[in-house]
Amino acid sequence: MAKGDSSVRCFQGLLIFGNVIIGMCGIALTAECIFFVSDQHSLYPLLEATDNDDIYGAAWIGIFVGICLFCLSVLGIVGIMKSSRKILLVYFILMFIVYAFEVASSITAAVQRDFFTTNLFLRQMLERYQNKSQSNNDDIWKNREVTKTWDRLMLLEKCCGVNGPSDWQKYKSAFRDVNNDADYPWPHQCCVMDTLYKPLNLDACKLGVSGYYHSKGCYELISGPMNRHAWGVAWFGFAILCWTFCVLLGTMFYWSRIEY
Amino acid sequence: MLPEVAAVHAEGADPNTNGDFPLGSCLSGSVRQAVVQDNRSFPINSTFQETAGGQRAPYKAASFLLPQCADLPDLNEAGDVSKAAEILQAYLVRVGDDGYCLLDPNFKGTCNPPLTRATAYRFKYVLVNTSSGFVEDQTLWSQPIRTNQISPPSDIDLWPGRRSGAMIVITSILSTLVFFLLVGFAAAAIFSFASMGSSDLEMQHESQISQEAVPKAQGAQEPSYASVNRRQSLDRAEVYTSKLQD
Repeated sequence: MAKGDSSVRCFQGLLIFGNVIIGMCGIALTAECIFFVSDQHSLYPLLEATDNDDIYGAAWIGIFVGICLFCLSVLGIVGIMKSSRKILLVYFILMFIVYAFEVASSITAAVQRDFFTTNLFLRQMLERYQNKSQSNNDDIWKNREVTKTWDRLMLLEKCCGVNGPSDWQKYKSAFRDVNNDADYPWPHQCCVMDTLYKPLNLDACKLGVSGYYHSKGCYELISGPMNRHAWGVAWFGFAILCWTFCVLLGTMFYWSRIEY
Repeated sequence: MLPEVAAVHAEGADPNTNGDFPLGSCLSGSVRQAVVQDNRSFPINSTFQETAGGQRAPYKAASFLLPQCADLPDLNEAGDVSKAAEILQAYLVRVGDDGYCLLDPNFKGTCNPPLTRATAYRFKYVLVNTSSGFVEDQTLWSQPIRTNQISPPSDIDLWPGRRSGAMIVITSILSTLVFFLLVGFAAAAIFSFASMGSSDLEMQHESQISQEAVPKAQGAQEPSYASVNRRQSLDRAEVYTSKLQD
């Protein structure tokens, strides 16, 4: 490829521009994934207890892929400006590795998103909420975390169960094993509270007088943030990969035309 | 003095009761007279235990004094927190309200334990004259009210079922992109090695020419790019030194 040719300069400029975009997307991806991993809604225990926390794995991969993309874009820009075959070869090899990881991250996030069904959280809640069985340390810890998360959710978000209070009526649960139905048709966290977090009227709540218990389920509050984050990781990763694909093809073309 | 009692009769009780208590049904009555009674003129006094939870015969679930119907609170004001307790007290008899009387060996009186799951129950109110001990009046048996069947959480199916379009699109397109990327890299590598082989020939040819053309190149002050290939620049080493001397 003849040097100094204006069309070559133009092509170099395009590739550098493509790499600058990759670098910026890398930083954005890292930021997004850090936000996700920081778990603003404190819902991680719910996912962890279902052994379905791969979406956090996807986000962790996203963090490192973002940083790598930024560094590699700098390497790519240097390689293109110097027209160095060796630098570009290293760039390609590292880029393929990072690309593969990001593909894994994106697909994992997309697949796991499908698993966030009401049944997943319902079954886990029934099995773990207030489960005091002493099986092993891991289970005890998970049960405690799930109980804590649910108590907080129901108390602060003014919701009850996954679909509603009837979850505790339709299914046998660990909660039902330790509490009798007459006094605890549903957890007292489901009752409408006054400002001091005491039930407005406990009897009315137990009897299910409307206005004294929360009839809304918590599913939306759990799956909403999860789905949004998973969506972000999956589709933003996908967009970056499409762009990187084009830039890489262009760089390969350029690379194949560099003379020794 | 007329105390009131609610009678309960269970139908088709499920024999497999594992101690899972469904929610006790709530009886709300503006008719507050109730007695447990068998069409005869004395009330039923059998307990929950004696009738096996109402399977063999009706049992007496609760008794209460005849309320003052003159100044009943308004049921529509149940949303008012300050009045809720009073309204519930006046309007509700909860069957299955006492979760502990069965467990207490010293318990005296009418035991009103939680009802069994997946069982149909019928209820009635009977009005009893406490001084004579006879039934004054009674309601008809209610329609059967069925308690919930309760299922274990392991019955819940976790499989998400149909895959979302997003997942299919992302997975298939990304797999294809990876494939094309590798094909592209292979093509680029093959092409560059092939052109390297052919360019080696060109190089030799070119370097011969360039040796011949040295004086000419010197004269034209051809700009030398950093990327001009190395073999050529080795050949031209003399030229450069001579340039420097100039």
